[in-house]
Amino acid sequence: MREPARVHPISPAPVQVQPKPPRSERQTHGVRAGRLALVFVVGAALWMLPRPATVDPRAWQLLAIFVATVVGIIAKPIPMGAMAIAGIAAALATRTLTLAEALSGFANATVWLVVAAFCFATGFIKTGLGTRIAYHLITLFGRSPLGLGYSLVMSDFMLASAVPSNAARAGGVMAPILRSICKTAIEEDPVRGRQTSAFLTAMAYQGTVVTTAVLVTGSVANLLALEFAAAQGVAITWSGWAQAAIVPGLVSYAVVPFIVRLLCPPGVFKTPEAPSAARAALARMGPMKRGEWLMGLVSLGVLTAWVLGTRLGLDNTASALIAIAALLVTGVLTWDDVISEHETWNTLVWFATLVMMATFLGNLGLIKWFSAEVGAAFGGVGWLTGFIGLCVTYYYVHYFFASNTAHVSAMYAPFLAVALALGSPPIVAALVFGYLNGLSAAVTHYGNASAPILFGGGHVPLATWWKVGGVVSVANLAIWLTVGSVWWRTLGLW
Amino acid sequence: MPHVQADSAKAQTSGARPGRLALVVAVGLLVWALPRPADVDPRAWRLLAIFVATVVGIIAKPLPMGAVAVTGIAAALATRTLTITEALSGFAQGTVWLVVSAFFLACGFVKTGLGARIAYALVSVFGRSTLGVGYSLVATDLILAPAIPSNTARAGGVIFPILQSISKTALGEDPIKGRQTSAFLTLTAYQGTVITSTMFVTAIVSNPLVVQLAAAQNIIITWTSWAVAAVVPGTVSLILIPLVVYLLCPPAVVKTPEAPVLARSALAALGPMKRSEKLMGLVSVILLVAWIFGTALRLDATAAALMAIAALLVTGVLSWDDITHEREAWNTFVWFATLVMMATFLGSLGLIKWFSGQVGSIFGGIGWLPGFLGLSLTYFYSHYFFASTTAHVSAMYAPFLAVALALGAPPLLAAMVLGFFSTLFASLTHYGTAPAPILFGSGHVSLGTWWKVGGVVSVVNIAIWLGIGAAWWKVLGLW
Repeated sequence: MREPARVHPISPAPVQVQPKPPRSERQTHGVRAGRLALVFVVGAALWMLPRPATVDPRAWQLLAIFVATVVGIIAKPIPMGAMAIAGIAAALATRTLTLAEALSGFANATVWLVVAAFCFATGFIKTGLGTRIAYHLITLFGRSPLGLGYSLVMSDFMLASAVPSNAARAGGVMAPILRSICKTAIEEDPVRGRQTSAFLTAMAYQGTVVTTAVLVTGSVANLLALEFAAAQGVAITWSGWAQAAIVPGLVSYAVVPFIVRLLCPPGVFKTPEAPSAARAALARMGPMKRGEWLMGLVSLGVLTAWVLGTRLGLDNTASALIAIAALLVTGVLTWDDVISEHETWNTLVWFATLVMMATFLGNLGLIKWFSAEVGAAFGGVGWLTGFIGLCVTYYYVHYFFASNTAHVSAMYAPFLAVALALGSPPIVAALVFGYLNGLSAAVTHYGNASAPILFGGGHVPLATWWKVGGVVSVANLAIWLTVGSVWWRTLGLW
Repeated sequence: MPHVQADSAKAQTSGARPGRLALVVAVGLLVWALPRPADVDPRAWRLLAIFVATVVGIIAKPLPMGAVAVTGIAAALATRTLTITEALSGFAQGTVWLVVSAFFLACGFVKTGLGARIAYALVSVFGRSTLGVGYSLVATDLILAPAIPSNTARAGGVIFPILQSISKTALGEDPIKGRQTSAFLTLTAYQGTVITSTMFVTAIVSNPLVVQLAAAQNIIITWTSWAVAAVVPGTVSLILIPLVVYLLCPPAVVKTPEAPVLARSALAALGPMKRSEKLMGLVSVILLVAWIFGTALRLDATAAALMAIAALLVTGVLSWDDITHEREAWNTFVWFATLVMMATFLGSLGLIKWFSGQVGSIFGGIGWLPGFLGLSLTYFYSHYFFASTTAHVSAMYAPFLAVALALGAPPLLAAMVLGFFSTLFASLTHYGTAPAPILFGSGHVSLGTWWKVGGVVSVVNIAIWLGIGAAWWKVLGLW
């Protein structure tokens, strides 16, 4: 039942299910020349547009480079990290940024929080602790398909507090377990087993979508959103995000699985064999190993430090780095694990680059100028009407995005700026766009990095996936904007 | 590219070696608990304790170097010695990214096969004599040195495979004579890479560390000023040292008519130059020009290097996967940034100034010249006790430079001489710098010969660099 341990747990899973680029695409040496030309043209066009007199020339140049970089992240002429390096090089070559400015993102604390969290992900998967948690939950709740689904969603949630990659959680923990459950079910009864598998897969995915929204650490895109909000002067803490999300999140956790069950019903209603299979798997894993104990202990310690952060006067990143040092000294992680996990370094480069560019767009006054322009244009519209329109647009535009990160980098900052210019309450606006970003992934089978992994299992037909996604997206939007806004009123956020 | 250091990291899987870890902690606690001199900032003293413990950790290796660095940062954060912003500042340092970029360039040279092609081309032209083969290998190393900051990548990744194939042919023809010839070529390649590592800031990782440590004491060394100061003594060394090796460890065969033939057939097997090789060559030549004329172009060395990497990525010579999988680059990134950060704050918190003041008052009577000579020779020969130039530089460069300055030595001269010695001293042993174990490991050279040649070469190098070098630096106005 257990997957053989992988050496570099985070990366291989998403890679193996990545759809191959269509044959028609002209690729020379791994570079799609047409798309690269597009990126360049967009940047050059923006660069040459007449700069409004009140905008700093450097800000305008940086805007052109930033937009080109984001277009590159979406169109992918070269991978995201390579695009980021090219963006930095462009900023340096055009003297838009000094070297110290261009590199400043690499010393950003949030960036290193993400790096540390990737090391946690490696630890969870390498020690097998993530898998053990999932099996334990299945022995407790797995007697029905719904219970099985909740067990997977709960283990995903527990991991999400320290593992900011839904691809790592889905690929490293959920997908392997799901695969073995589905295999057993289909062997017993091909037709019903397939239906049950479809239900479990869809539920696991929709669950991870909610989790991605509820916890800042649910996805790197959330941390990026926090940095973008901070660049516009809206400060959101880790616990502030979770506190505002918990009530609408719980409602979503309660409602969404029932929608999935309605639209994609499981073939059976009892799965008495699942808990015993999980028990057998646990027996095969043996008693908890030293590495698992230490991993659990260290992550509890970090979580405590994060929750009590402000009271301890300890920065989130500082506690994460101390925890990584503890894992290294105790040998739970080896240094080789850390440097070989190429996903970490990939994320470090693109994340640091985007954070840096966004920071300087803010510092150089571009966002302020943009908000003032938009505010003047929409002077007559009430903020509530305007804000709801913005939210719905922001949400459903995700049909066109294959990644939460691409969505945040392209749209979060301007949408937040417009919302603020309309007079929306800053914290609520910043939070809602953050939550909607995670939730919007519900709609497609490419909506976030975990979607292709779970969809790649092959149990859910494409039409069903989109149908479930469409209905769930409406439910989530309704829950978060109604229940959510009441709760945020109670919290005094608006 | 061979990952020598990382292999040793892989072998050790169960966390820190407890005895050595205890030693590191004990050293740190000891310094921490020592009575702090009244005029030293308390944070500076605490950072000194953490820094010393980190350096002891790099030498004693309870964990791989990068893990020791992360633990050092964690200690600084946990004890509130540094804020998170201060602790992470090293990761945004220009020098750090110069090193990281250069690792990616090295990856391109090895991946495209351009490095091997250069070596074969040189051997096919100059390789008719054993000495000629030796000079060809050294010349290849010299061509690659400015852009490959890892002599392991050069000597281990490019030169060593070629050396092995030549040795194999020589041994096949005549085992006894072949072994002598191989010994000569191996030692020439090694002593050559020691010299090329000295000549450019970007030729070995410990050189940028030297630049950074000197900057913490307000001495600015640029890529160009280093290369200009090193070019004259470096060239003399590159010409003379293979002859010294030739005398001490003579090859059995003087003529090697088969070497150019071998190289030509290897070149034929490589086929005509690929697109990626041409681009790689073009980009590195442009980069080199940008580095040399950096100040005139107002272009920082790191900015130029990052642009070169972007060019290689956009043209597909390097793939993004090559970059994220280049473990040695990320390993170096972490430990290098940590050391740079700690050294910077030891400087800015005033510790080095205090230390120099103390030492200066003790050695007040000695003239700077005899004092500096003594210092630099001590610095050089203490390398018998170090297995890495980085460990040696991080432990000893800053205090030795501070003492030299306190004695009144000309700042730029002192910083450069100690900097050049920081790689020249690797000639001494078969563990002096990372490629040494690779080349020694081929088994062509006996330990006794290696040390004998190393000892003599070290004396010749010191004579060249302090004799001809000093004259050249006088011309340059360094002193």
